[in-house]
Amino acid sequence: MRVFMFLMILTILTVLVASIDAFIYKSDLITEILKILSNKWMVYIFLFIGFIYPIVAGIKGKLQKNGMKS
Amino acid sequence: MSNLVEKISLWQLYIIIICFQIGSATLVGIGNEAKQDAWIAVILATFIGVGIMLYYVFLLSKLPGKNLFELFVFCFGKWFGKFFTLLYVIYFFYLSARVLRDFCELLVSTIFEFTPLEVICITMMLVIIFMLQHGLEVLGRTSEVFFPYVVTFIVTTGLGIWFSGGLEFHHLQPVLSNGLGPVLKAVFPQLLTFPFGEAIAFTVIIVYVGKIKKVGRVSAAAVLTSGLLLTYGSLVQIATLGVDLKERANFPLLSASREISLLNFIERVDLIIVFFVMFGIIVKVSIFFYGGLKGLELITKRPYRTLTFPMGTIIGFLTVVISYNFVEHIEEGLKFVPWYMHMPFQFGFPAIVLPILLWKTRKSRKRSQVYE
Repeated sequence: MRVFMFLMILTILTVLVASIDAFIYKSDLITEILKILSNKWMVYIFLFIGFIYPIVAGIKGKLQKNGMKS
Repeated sequence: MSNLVEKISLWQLYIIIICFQIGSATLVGIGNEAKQDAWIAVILATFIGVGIMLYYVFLLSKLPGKNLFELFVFCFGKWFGKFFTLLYVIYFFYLSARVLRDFCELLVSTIFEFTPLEVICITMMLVIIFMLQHGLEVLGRTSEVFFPYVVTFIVTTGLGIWFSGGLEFHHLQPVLSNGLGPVLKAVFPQLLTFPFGEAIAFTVIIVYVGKIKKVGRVSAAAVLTSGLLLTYGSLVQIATLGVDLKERANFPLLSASREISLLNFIERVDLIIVFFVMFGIIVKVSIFFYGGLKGLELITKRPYRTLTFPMGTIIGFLTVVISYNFVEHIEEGLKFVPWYMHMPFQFGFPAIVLPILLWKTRKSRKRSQVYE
């Protein structure tokens, strides 16, 4: 659920920023999205940590729950 | 940890509202359309801003203990309520990225000239994530610590320029030379939406104030105080720089503060300006971010703390990609954001909610009377 929420919010916000640019500069949406996505690795790694964080937290929670049961 | 009951005091609310409203408004300069009458526009907008704040408080008072998102669910039902909540989440996250970008641009262009913008964005975002991870109370207490410095620095900046002989009051004349037209043009929609209308974010915070009965008076007093400080800042900027230079400066207060030179010893105090702007920005981004997180909490039914870090990374990413450069950033902020984002979210949706809320609360009251 959290991973889905992460991806959904990220997609909506990226499209929103691109559509604002497309509206102001009268270009098309796809061009603006590609422009947005193009030190990029630092930002991508930061974003990836944000993506992986809920997955790791979920696995950790499940392991703790199993540990409690056993 | 996630189920802690969060409470902030009335004094903390007062401080947070002031820091929130003077946050980026002192940074980018406001009311430029009114030329030398910008300070009159700010005064006028302040009184309307008090009305806006009281309207939001009135909205919340109809259903005590519920925040704006819970009002949506109450008024529009579960699914439509969640849909409107998601729209507000997007709005709050977008605004927090915008505000953070304002500050990052200030740092990059003044004191960290060789530091990449993304390093500053990510660092600032990590601080904000850490603060919100510990809850709203931490934000309240941090504000209490820094507030005296913020106010002192704002006031002493003006006094410092005055003692340095930088204030030229003839820049403020002629007063209302073109009538009230330019002043009203500056007030609507620019000044109404930024910074006063942005108080919509407090519809999520006010619920956590201990003494809810006095919230209206305290928040109105806070808006008046911040309006007073903004008017003072506007007067100082115009009197120091003149209208043309104020309009052309990216950060007018920073440019004005460079005029300070006392005894050939106290000079280059722009770092002090950066400090108090930084604190205002941290409060503002935190409030918007917190508002968005509380909306997500309602949608996902999970404590907001589990979402703080992932959503914080999205805002960090968005801050970097929100515009290519500062010119584009300001252009978006003047052309698009006030009309297509601020107006519907600050005035449109709340205006739709109020009649439905009044009708529904009256209906439920009648129903409870029948049962009695």
